[in-house]
Amino acid sequence: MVSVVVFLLLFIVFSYLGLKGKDFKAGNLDLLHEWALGGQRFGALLLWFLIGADLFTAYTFIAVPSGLFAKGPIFFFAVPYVAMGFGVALAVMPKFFAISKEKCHITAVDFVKDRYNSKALAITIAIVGILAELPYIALQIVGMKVVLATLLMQFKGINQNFINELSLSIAFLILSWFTYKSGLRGATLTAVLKDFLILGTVVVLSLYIPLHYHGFYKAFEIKKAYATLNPKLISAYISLSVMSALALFLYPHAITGCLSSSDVKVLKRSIAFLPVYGIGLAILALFGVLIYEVKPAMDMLNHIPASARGSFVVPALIVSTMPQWFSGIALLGIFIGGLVPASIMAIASSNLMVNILRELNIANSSNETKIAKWFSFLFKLIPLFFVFVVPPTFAIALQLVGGIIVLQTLPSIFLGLFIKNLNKESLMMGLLAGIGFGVYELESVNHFGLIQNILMPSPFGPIFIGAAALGVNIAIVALGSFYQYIFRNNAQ
Amino acid sequence: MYYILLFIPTIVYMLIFLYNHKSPEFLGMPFFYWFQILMLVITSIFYVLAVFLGKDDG
Repeated sequence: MVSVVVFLLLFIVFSYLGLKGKDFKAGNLDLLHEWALGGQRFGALLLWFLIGADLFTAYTFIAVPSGLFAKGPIFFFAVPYVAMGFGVALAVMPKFFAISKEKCHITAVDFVKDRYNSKALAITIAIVGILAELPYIALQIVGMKVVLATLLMQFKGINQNFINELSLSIAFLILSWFTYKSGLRGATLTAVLKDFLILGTVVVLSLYIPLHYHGFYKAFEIKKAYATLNPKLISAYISLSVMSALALFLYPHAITGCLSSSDVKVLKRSIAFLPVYGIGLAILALFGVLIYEVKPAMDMLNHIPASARGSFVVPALIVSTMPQWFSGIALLGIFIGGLVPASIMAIASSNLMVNILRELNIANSSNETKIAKWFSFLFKLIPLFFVFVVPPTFAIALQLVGGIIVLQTLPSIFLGLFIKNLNKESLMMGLLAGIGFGVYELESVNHFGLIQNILMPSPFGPIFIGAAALGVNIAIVALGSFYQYIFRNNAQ
Repeated sequence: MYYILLFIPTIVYMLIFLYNHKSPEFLGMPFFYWFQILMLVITSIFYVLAVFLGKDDG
């Protein structure tokens, strides 16, 4: 009971901050870049929170520990992914930022349109960006449902499913309301609250539980096979981490986060320190193994069907080892850990929608902010339908499906920054071929059923489907651009 | 220089045979795990060096 009261009280504080956000570094919220990019006035510390907030989401708290719990060390790939991801960001984003700032771009789509002078390519990239965000938002929803289910478990004899759905809807309505009112400012302020709660939770849990149970000895005794990576999976480990790292800053919301910075120096400094943030992610991931030595938590998990069991690892560890008031705080942290990123992702997707409508001459400067605000609402609802495509234990597959899709925009966005002679028709063909290949492989390795597997066979061993799809894509872009280059030279 | 400093941590992470071992353990954590956690700190040091020392065109 205490945990529910603490949870609700903190949620009220959270909503208040979200609404108050509109007065924070105030600006005219009827202008799109004020609403969507916080007026580009965010300094290093706030940026650190805003971009870092993307790291501590349901992916970190629910999906990765669940993967380790069910399948072992292969899912520790999330750690090198974080380290490499910020390296990719440092290599690419300063250049991207400079160009965007100079030409007042708000999204990657503005950049693509300007660079290749192609409406069709710009619209396609926008659609692909939105498609990639939807499963990622769905992952956040899975996480929030797990938290609510954990909170409700203590009450016997009520309709748990109904109350779960009801509370989730209420939370979403409140979130949508303040996203509408305060835009990215609201999300950033609540991201600070979320990070404090979550960092507190991570520090307490990662000191208390391993020390209380005398380290990880017993857990790795019970799960001997989890001690090292199966050499057969090295190709999978590398491809998953490298491809996820490349995808990280192709996501529209990550680009939005970067563009809200006040200048390049600030951006670079805040990114350089972000890998340290990954330590929390790594320890949470290890909870997926640690839980095997914590008996009360395992007893809890045994009541949950196997298809969802893994997703309860961290919440079960919290409620079975911590006092009620602390559980309330920690669970709220995880809950808004899904809610805030969902909001940031929805804002980014709606910016892209405005891009599309502007190309089609439907949106203009008088109505674009209103359109973006309404779409940010819609993009929180659509992902509800994706939640059921993946069993909760393999919720990480949702993020990886988004990865397969968003990776296909890499040639147009990242390569386009460094290589001048890319040809727009080949970029388009490569993009479509990459997505077609990726989706087909994904469906065929899962036998057109629920998505659990994201690896496919290759001459080097199993690899992440996204790697092969990107390979197909780049091959087409390279061949096409090279052909055009030669052809043009001969014609002159 | 900037790009080289950025690339070194990625190379270390890709050489999995370097750290795919059970021992030495730390608090019961196999080497495979704690080495990668330690690498996060080292990665940040490389990135900070890159940002403060290296020049890029951004």
